[in-house]
Amino acid sequence: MRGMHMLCGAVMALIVWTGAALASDLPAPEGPVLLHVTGEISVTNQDGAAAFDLDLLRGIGAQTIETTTIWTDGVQTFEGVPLHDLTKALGITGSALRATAVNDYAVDIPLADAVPGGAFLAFARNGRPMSVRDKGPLWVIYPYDSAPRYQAEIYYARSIWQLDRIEVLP
Amino acid sequence: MQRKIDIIFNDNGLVRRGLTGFVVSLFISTIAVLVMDARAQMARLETASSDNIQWVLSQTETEIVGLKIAMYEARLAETLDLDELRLRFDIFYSRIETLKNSPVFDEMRQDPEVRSALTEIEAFLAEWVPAIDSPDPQFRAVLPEFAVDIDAAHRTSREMALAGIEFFSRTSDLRRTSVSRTLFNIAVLTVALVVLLLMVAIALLRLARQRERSATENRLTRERMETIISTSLDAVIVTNRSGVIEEYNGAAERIFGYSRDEAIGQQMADLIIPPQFRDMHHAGMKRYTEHGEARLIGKGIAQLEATGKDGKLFPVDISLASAQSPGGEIFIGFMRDISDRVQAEQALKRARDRAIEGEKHKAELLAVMSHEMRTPLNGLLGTLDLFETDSLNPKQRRHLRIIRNSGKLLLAHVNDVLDISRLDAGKMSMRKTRFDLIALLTEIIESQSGRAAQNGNRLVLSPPSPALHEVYSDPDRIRQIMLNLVGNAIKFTKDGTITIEAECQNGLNEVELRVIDTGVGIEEADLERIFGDFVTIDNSYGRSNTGTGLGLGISSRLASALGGMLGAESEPGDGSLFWMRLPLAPAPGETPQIDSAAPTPDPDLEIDLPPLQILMVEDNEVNRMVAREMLERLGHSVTEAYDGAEGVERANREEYDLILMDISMPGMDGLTAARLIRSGDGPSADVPIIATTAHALPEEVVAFRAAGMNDVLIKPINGAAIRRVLGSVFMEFAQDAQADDDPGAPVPLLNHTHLAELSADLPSDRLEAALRTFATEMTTFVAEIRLMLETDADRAAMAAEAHRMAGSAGVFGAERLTELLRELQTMAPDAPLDALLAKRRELNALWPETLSEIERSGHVSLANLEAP
Repeated sequence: MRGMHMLCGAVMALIVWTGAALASDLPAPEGPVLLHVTGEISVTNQDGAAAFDLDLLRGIGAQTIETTTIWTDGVQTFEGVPLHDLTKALGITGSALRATAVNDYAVDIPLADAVPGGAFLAFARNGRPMSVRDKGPLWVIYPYDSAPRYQAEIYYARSIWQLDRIEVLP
Repeated sequence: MQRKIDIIFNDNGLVRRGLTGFVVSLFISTIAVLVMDARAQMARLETASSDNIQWVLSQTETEIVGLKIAMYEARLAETLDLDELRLRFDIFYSRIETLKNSPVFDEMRQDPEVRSALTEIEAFLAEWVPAIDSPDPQFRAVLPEFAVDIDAAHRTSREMALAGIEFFSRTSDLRRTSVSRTLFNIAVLTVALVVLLLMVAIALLRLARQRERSATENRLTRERMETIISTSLDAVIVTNRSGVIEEYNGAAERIFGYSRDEAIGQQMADLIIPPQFRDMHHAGMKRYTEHGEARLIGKGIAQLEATGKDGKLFPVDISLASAQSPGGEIFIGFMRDISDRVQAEQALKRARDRAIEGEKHKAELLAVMSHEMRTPLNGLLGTLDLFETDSLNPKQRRHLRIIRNSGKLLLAHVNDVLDISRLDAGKMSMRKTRFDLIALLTEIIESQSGRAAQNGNRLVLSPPSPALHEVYSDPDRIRQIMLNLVGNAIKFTKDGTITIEAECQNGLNEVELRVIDTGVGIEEADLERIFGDFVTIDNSYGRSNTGTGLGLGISSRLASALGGMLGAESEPGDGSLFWMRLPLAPAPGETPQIDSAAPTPDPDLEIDLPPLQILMVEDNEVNRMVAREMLERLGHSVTEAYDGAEGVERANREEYDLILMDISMPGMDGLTAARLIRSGDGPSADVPIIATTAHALPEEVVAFRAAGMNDVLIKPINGAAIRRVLGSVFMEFAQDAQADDDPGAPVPLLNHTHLAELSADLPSDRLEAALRTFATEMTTFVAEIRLMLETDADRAAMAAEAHRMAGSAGVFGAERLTELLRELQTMAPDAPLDALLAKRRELNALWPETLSEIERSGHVSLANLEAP
């Protein structure tokens, strides 16, 4: 119940914030850009793209989840934004997101994964920003522990690390 | 039976079911475990191990190749910044980190080749991180060396990839095998489970069929039981533990009046138990339910009273049982209305009681009548004695004789009947004593030979055992029986032989006496009947010499009373054999009485007595008259008293020499009167008292003596008996008078042996003639004595005549007569007239007595003789 209230609260805050963002567009990034979102988006801050630095991502509403992964040892604390919040912030209406890493690994994440309690876009692990060596700058993870349905190969494949680009597919 | 089988079956079933359940659940849990295991293995295949290993390993190689390319590009273009190179390094670094940390590769990292390769690559990365993180110029300076190391790392990476892939292919092979084994196990277990379930199904099927069969049997049994119950003639009522009727059949409807619908569900006690018994019933039920104490249930048939709808009570036979039903304990009662039976039983009982009562009355009547008949007979016969026979003419004397003989016969009949009723009432007591059986039998032979001869029969005694000289029993009764048997034998045998035998069969404990004749014999069918009472069929042995048909009945009873039995065997035409088996040894504990010690008065003792003053207490007028006459003729004077009270009064007032006391009198009886006289201090308190009674048992005699009486005079009274008793009582007087005689050797009336010898020596017609002559002379002598006493001369003639007569009497063995005549002879010349008159009276009494004894002996027929 409490989780529900919090969720409701978060949604309300998001609606209020989104309204404000829509009114004044997405601010330009000031720090190093971690993520470029292109394709079918309605909110941009560059030419046909939305570029996010750490502050902008935090601006969407940073959250923390704890989970183990099959690639790390022990429980990890991830800080980031839910993919759901990001797609809402950008007014994404497409079918899928094509996520590409710095090594050009690419995977299509259906928009259906961008639901509350679903895919999560992490920018810090165990309290530290992630370098490329630590699978940074961004890492798409799922709450494997709290939602065991994500412990499946298809979700492991979508758990892309060293992410820096997203193209919203129509 | 059915229930017992069910229980065994159920127990068995329970075990079997439990076992089956256990095995099935074991199978199911094993399968479940295996399925879970398989599922876990599948899960491993589709989760952890499903990350594409080959992809990761080849990607490692791809990424080190990327690093290598970036390296070359950086060295070719010296102006180019080194960020791309750093990025590629970082990507490779990240990949190795993943390999190093990911739990997915835990197993692979255990592989020595992989581990050494990974360690080498880690060392490469660690070595070059400082250079990578340094600014471009410094980094560029070490690029050539970095290129060499990258090549080396590339080779290592290649080796690691190959080793890893080989490891994973081996691992997944193992997993596939494991999965396939698990699946195989599941399959095997599943098949086994199915087989087991099939077996259980078959068992259940068989069980169901068995159940169905036993249910059918049960139904048939139940239907049969219901038919039996409904057609039962007995009422059947079934109640539960609280007494509510559950079953009620047609017979119950008929007996109790309630219909089935009315009865079912009602309290049984309220319907059929009479209200006064209900509390008892409830108490009984309580006792049973609380303590299990059953008085009726399972105890067989009881008889109770029940009631029905109409409220009438009636007797029922009831049998109760309890049984277990599905609803708890039930009680089954079978009841039968037995009103008819009870009524019939009661009627029968009443009829029996009436019959017994009637029989008793009859016996009493018989006894009383016999007794009452004896008294007038006594009077009749006694009065006959009073006739002065010498003053009668011959015709009158003949008539008198006929009256006397008829009277005697009648008395004998009455005595027979009285004997029978006394024997039946057990009131006949035996006077057992020691005696000589051989002498008794000899005497019978002697006395009956004459009578036997009349029918042309010979009477012989087969030589008996000498042991029989001294036996113990009642000689009078044995004589009575033997005379009866011999008399019968004589009567039904013509020109034959009658043999008496006596044989010891078991010492003296069983002596058999036999009377065997060669006469007409008895039909088989009559053999049993002849011992019955009043059997008077023609030609029957049952007709005894007394002619009442009671002879053999009395003999048979007497034999039983003596502890023996009487029987007969016969061949019609060839003769009969009557036997009597008797114990003749003294019974244990029985004190033998010696004959000589018996305090019986000497029957032959007669003495002269002075005239006595006698008080006679007697209620019967005839008896009084007869006795008074007799006593007065003996020279005594008599005072009469009519009952006990008057007798006591007179005895207390005057002094008598003797009192004759009747025993049974209305008002005060003789016993009481005697006791009062003795206890009083009247003038007659110490004089002799003689009881007069019709019958005196030994214990009665004891009672008489206890009451103070001195002797007993048995009715009917005759002169001789009176003389004997008076003589006995006044023994003191007698002793002086008879001092010269031998008091120890009493003279018998008739010497049978002597007469028998005479009879054997003389032809019977000569004997008869002699006896006839003697009888005539004797009669004349007795008649003439009175005349002879008138003158002295005649007295001498009288002495001579007495002498002659004494001689004649001696010839026939009439010993007492002989002695009396000799006394008369002695006294005749100078005795006072009174004394001679007394002697004449004695002679007058003794002569007919002697004659009848001679006649009884059977040696001489006196049919043509005239009695005096």
